[in-house]
Amino acid sequence: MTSKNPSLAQMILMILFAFSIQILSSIFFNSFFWPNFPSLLVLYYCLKGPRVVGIGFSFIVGLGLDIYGSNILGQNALALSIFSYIAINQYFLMRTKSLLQQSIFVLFLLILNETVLYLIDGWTRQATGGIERWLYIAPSVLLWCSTAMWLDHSPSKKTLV
Amino acid sequence: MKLPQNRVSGLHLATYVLIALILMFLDIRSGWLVSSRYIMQSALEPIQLALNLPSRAWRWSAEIFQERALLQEQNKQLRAKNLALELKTINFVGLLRDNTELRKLQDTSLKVTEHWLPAEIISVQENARSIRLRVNRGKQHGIFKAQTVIANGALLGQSISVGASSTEIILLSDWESAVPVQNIRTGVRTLAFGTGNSGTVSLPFLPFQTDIRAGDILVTSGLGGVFPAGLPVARVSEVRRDGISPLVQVTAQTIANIDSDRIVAFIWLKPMRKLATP
Repeated sequence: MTSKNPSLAQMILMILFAFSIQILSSIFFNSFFWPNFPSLLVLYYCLKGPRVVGIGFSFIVGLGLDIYGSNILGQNALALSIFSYIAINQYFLMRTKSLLQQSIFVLFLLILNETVLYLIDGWTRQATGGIERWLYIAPSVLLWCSTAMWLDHSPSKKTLV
Repeated sequence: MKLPQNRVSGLHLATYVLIALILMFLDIRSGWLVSSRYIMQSALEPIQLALNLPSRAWRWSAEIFQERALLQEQNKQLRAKNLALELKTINFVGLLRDNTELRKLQDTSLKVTEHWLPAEIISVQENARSIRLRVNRGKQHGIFKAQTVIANGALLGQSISVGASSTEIILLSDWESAVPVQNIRTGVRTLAFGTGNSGTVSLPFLPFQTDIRAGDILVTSGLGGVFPAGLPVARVSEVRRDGISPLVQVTAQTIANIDSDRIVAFIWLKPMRKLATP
């Protein structure tokens, strides 16, 4: 378990990288099943360095998502704030759990995140869409699991959470 | 933010939620955020343009290494096509003159294309809620909001938010899109709404007895003044009369698609009051 907290510069670079992946995927694949990299990265940093991250960080990433996705300004920011609030406060609980339990936690958080977005869409009379908007959640959880397993078995013995 | 335990207080959350709510309120209720949105979008633009570089470089190198014979063949074909188009234009000039005279009699202001500007797609937003594109032309190229965008010689959509050097385009099939159309075969005018499914629009306001069949071509009617008249929009794919509803349910497939070509074009219109010279 690494005790070193990630530096802010490193986090900003990673977030830019996550956005880049998101934009590139929209050009080349454009699939409903594409995982939401920025949200997953926010979750990762909430669990890895909760002393550094805080809600403000998630809020700003959310604003970035709003601008990129041309949603109402503040929609993703609100959802990600709640998302990271829960993630940070469950930090100690989550560290001790098994991978399966962590995955359920991630699933729960992503569903909550999308539900908040869905409700805001509904209240502001935007198009709420069909089943497609929920499709990214399962691949995201799978990605989380596989990355966690991969990191666990890597030679450096880094642990994700 | 550095609390002794790794916890965040509810007050923190409440503050950020409040800020988010205020932002959303301002974004929906007033135009105050339009300029700040513009600035933030400009900040995101360099990333998008930089990401577009590899694919551009790839296409550029592919063009360079194309075979000479292939290019010559293409050149020949284009020449033939050009000739055919020129002949068509000669006919078109005559028709345009007649049409203008007729329109003048009716004193309607039909708009015609003045000039156009090609643009390249740099990202696609195609999810359940929106079907939108971002292209590499913006305010500095003279793009404005609600400008007509065409692809493959058919209507693709309109610009919705214009950044400094990139523009977001809302496609016809986007949930929030509506375009006034006319059936070429019968002349019936109606509205085509986006369905949220890629490449599909619906015509929800046609009475039960309307003469419409699968295969009919819909063009823009020019009503509303946003789009020019006569641009191909969609081909009717399904007509359903269920005997219960007083309306006929029609779905149509848009003619312009973004899969085949990464180039779209913005067009500028001018009202055709006088005799137009093409």
